[in-house]
Amino acid sequence: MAALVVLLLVLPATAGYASVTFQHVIPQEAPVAVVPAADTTDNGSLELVDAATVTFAQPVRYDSEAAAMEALHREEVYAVVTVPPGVLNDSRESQLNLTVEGSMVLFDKPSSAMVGVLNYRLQSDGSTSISVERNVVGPSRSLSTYLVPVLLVSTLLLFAFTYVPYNLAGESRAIQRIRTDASLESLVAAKLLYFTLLMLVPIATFGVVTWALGYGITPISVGIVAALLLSFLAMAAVSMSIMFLTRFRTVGRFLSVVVLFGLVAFGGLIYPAGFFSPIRKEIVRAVPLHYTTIIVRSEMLKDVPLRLYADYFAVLGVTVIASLIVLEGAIVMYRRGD
Amino acid sequence: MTDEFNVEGLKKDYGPVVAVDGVDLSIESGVVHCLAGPNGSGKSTLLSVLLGLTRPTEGTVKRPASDRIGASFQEPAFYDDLTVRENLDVFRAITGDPDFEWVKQVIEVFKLPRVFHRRAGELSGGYSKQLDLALSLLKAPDFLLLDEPLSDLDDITRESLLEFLDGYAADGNAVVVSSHRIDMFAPVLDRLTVMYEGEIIRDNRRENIDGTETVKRVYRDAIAERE
Repeated sequence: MAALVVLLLVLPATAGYASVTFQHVIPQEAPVAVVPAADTTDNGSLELVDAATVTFAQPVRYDSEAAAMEALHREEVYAVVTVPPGVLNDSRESQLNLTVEGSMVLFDKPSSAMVGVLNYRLQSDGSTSISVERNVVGPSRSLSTYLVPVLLVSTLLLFAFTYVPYNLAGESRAIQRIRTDASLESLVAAKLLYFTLLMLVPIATFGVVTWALGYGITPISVGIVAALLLSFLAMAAVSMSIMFLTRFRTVGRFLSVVVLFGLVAFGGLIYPAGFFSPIRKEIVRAVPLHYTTIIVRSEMLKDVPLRLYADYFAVLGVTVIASLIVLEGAIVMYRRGD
Repeated sequence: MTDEFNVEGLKKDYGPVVAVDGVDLSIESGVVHCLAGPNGSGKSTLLSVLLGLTRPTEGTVKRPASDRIGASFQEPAFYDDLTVRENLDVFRAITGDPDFEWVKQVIEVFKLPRVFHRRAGELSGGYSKQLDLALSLLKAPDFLLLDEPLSDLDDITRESLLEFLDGYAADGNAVVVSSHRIDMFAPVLDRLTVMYEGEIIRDNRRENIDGTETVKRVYRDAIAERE
């Protein structure tokens, strides 16, 4: 009965609700860094650009270009607008630069539109001497290559929330004997280790396929493998927790699929966090899988140092520890339920 | 930790249903100890508490220091998708790779070579039970706790199991079986504990229950007194 409730009510409700995630084709509130090009850039110029930017984005002030570029690589902002000194001075020719990453394919067209809007807005304010130029940093990628990290993360997500619960459910008949001869913790630890190492196979397969397709990306690196395995470990622990809490019943498998849908909708897998409304943006940024996707995307498609994502790795590490604690709690509750 | 199982004032309830109520019991080595009683008398729950699979509501449970405890369950516990041989291999590994000669002997006792390559989930009820019993014996346990071990077994296998259990207890191991078919265990049992509605209503040693007819009478009288 519970399985039917999940299958006929919870799952469709989640899937239906997930549709609200995809509200815009062109982002309307994407964070954009506004940064002074020099120490002499006055606050009035920055405010003018802020005001012009706010119509299509969410301006975020940065003190230095280096910090703004770092935020760009970390996908905290999706463009950097560099404001030179004297923008308010009509007698001087001013050129603003709007910098985007070539790997952020989904932001390619919107950023071009932004340049047009920015030019129009600034010039309609009477500053006819201002022009905005669009710069692209890093290699420009195609939509196909943009999707490679997305699909790789999705593959692991799918495995963690469909096969892992299915496999664990297969233990249900033998579980009494395992509990007598060993411990549930040792069984779970062995399975987690086995499945996590098994994930090297799809990671390597993706690497081979993308190499064969001649995509010219970095298909495998220490950063990619570490981020993916940490994320998988956490996801597998969560799906195992669900199975223990539902005592291996079918409803547990359906609930895992509900979580899978939820992560696809709210994990910032396909569209980056900046494409969503402010509230949804915060939700996406609260989902650790969002950071996995950024790390994998950056390692595959960009040419930036891994140290930029040290705190993202820390988020993943903390998530793994938290999910393992939840799993142990679920096992304890399972034992108490006998 | 002690050298034996010992429970005092054990109570286990599932909401309003009291499965075990105020049980005091110790399990001794070297005897075949039968927990007898009608269906729902609390035998399986008591075994489950002894095995640490069920938490008691009240009372204390002291378990032996030895981790060599084997168990067979009312519902056979193994991997349906694996073959008999694969199940034996998996649980051999889990139990710490026991002595090969012993494992061979156990496999022969339960006639498992005949079904080595069959998927466990496709075995008949009898072979399922035989595989479950064999798995319970893999690590040559000091304490063997079997829940309804004779169910689904044919007459010949049943007799050879009883003979095996008799010899196994004689070697100094504790053998505890739960059953509602007391007549079948009568020839080999050393101790008879009769349970009824969660309570122990009789606990007799061999000297008081010698002979199958005596065992049956003691059991019948004990149940009749409570009904």
